[in-house]
Amino acid sequence: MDIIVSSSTPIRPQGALAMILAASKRPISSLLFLYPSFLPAAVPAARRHESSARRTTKRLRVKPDPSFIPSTPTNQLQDNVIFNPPSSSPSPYHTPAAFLPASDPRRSLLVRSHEHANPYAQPNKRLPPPMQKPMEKRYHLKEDEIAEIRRLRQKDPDTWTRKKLAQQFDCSEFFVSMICEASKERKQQQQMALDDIKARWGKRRTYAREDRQKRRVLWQRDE
Amino acid sequence: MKALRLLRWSGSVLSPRTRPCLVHLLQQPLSNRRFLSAAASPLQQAIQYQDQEHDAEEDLWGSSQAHKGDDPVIPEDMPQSLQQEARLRALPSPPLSAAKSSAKLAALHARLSFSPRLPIETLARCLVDATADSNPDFNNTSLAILGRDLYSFYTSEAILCRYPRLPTAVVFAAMAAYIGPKTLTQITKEWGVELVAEPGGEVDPGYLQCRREDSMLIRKHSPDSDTDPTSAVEEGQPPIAGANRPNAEQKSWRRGVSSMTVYDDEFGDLVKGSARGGRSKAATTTVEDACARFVQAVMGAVYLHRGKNAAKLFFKEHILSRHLNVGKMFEFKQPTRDLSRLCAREGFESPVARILSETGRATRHPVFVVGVFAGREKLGEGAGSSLNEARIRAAVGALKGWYLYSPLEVRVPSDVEGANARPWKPVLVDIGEIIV
Repeated sequence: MDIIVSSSTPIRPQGALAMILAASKRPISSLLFLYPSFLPAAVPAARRHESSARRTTKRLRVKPDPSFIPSTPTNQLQDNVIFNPPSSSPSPYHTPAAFLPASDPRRSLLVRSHEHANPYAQPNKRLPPPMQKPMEKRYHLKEDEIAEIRRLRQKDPDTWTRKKLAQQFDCSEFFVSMICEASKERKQQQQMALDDIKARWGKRRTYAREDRQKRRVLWQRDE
Repeated sequence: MKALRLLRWSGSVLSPRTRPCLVHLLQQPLSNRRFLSAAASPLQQAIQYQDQEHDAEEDLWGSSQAHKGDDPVIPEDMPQSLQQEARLRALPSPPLSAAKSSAKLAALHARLSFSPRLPIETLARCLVDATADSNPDFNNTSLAILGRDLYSFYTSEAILCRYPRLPTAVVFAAMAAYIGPKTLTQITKEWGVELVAEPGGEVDPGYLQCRREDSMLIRKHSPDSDTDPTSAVEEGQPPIAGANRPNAEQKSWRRGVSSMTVYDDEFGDLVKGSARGGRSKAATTTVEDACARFVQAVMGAVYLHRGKNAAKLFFKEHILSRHLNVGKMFEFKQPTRDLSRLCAREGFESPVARILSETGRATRHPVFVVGVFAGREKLGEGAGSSLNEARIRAAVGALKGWYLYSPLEVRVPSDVEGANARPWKPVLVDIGEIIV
């Protein structure tokens, strides 16, 4: 049976040296004076795994991007347009093909070069994953259920909060807010409670919340 | 559309003008008289001179009473030079004869590379504001009205044909950015026009003659100098903001954007004026307003003397050449909601936010790139340090992509005027912005 020893297997020193090495926690280089005269040649530190030429020159020889290589063979090379834009956020002045009016000639042009403009337009290409699970609109609540939601919220807003109504009737909180509104007193009460909480905030939290609002305005302006 | 030839009646618009207080100066030879008309025929001029002398005697001008009252009493034994000086000081604005010898005015004329067919005296008149000289025959009011209308016509057609889908609020903002008082003040500065400390007849006509609000000096020549300068409107009526509006007295009523296009001015601001609809006669002005009227008056002068093509060229060189990034003028309150309304209106699938790429989700500085898709069509893309930020930015990008649509070939209606113009092809008229 052959035993294949890979080059990465450490070479075990034999005899007395092995005992010294096992007993000592100091690095080997500090114990070189103990070695017999023939040993330094076999020290693994001197091994070469890779030539310097490969490391320094061949690795830097990067293959060009496929879009930089002309698609026609070199012997019948003619003038080519190389279109390889850097990755950057798209400009709002570039109207997407769907938004162009039917009379605009760019519409057909964009469809022809759609691989670049919109790579997901091809039917065999998989779309990227959605950020949230898309909500299916169900329209399952009827008139009397909506009237019931309104009645409950009007009667006892402390018990029947938006969240609770949404759970009860299996709809979104947004839908509850669309069909009914809390009474004026209730809103005032909630606002006072919120102000009370805000009054207890320290400087850091107040500033952090303010900055959050300001950042949101920047998103809406796309700045 | 046919271009109007203005040459015949521009002479009556720019009639030769005299001041009643200087009737005795009129006895000088014809060449020394102060007149502006470059287009009137000699016959017309002769008729107008007769009229004007008649006017001067009969004192038909509204403001001439005050001028009569201010008629300087110059002693006969005064030296000739001092008499001349006293006469100049009595004038509310520099005489037109001074325009020929003003280095500043000549420099401005050359700097704007005007043709010699636009007389330097007209440029001098453009620099006289109504607050310096209330006589409408000597100030720039009439030219400014014409220039303002031309500016708003050319600018609005340029904006609407270039970006046919812009929301009305952005159109107003873009109008103000192109020809608003702030921009026109900037243009005045760029042209190298300076303002006088206090207007008067002895001042170099190359300065912009106006009376500023911070002016400490007492007015000498204005017809309502004895009244309080803060009372802007004659007959003691307070100025009513929004004089064009049917319910101007209702301060708390909401002003909708679409009502601004009907009742308000080209920037969507309230038209200020008296209840009778006339513009108020203010004693002082702000620097911004005076500069705006000056730049408008220059446009009016170019149009009257050089015609429509020169006016359009002037507009292109000085107004339309200024870079305006319309894409930066948007602010959406609820971009995701607006986008889904837009998709429903236009018959696309409802928009879905999809993660195109991301890095460092668990780190302090993650970056997410989110695209908004309607079916397989990518509408917009946005990057942000949170998923929500990227989603909102993507929705904003998609909405801007919709609103900032611009046709390939932009032509404006005024391009079609003229004999050998290509026929007009109707431009895209959008059904309007998204209303939620």
